[in-house]
Amino acid sequence: MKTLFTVLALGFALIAQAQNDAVTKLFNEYYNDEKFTKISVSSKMFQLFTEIEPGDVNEKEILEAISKLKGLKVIATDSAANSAKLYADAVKKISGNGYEELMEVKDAQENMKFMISEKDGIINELVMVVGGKKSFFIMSLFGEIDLSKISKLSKGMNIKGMEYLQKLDESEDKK
Amino acid sequence: MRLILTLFFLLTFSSVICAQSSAVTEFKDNHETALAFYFYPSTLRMINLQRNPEFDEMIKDIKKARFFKLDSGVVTQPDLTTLGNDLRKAGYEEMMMMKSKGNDIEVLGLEKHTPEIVVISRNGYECMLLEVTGMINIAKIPKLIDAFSSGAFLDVFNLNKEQNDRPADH
Repeated sequence: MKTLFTVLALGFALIAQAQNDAVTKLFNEYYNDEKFTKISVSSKMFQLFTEIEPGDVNEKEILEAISKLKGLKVIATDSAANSAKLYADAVKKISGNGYEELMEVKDAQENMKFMISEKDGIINELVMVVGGKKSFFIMSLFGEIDLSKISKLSKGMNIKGMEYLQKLDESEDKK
Repeated sequence: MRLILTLFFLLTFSSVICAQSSAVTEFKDNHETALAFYFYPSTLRMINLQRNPEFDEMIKDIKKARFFKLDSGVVTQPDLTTLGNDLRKAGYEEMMMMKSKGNDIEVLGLEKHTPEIVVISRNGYECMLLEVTGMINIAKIPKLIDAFSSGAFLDVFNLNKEQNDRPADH
């Protein structure tokens, strides 16, 4: 019986590793390509801001959203000749590794897909892939993620690309 | 008793000396700086020409900030790699990394009662180092960007700009 539990535990660990690898591999793939902007934020950065006293309710919500994050990675370019292929490849690689699709938006300008990795009812990773005519954008947010607060974070922070997260709020409003 | 007092003073002074001779100080001493600014709470408040309360709120937990600009001719990428490694040896951990169109930014932080953050930024023609002792309220940054865009602050990096000649609104 003990052996069975050990095998199961190892199995789950391998699945978790495989999920993580899918996004990490994509980041590594584009790391040395000068066309791509690469951003990586570690948990240390987020920890630092948990000690800040919020000035108002809005700030409190932003800081709450930040405090539960463990990391952020972004890969972006606005000069990809093959953005449609990059988008399709990224979606294929990520969704084939156990991520669940959360939302998809398609319009004349761009396609975007939100995928999550969930454990025990808690979202521990949110991956967003966006492909435009020449643009391509992947963002992976990991930690304990509350989607309603993440959209507030995107509204509060003036970071290019984060506005895509507001689509999550829009989809909530339509329900 | 004398031994205890001697040990106490030795430890106290050695830690002060250690804090002053950081990797950034050594780096700055070994390379010619084109621009150097030292900010303290009082001088940080001085650049807030329009007395923007958001700015005062953001800087209230900053104890000290040092800013150095160096020409690319005096700093090479291996120099900056060595600086990053020296900081890591001193206990700093990577907080953020960004590479974009020839601009490289690395943020390293040292966790302690009063945190220390070092930002190393390099592009093709210059290198900038920012060392902050204390905290910056990240939640205030969006409002600050708007304020900076509207020219509400003294731009200490472009002191000859016309906007800086403008008197402060009170």
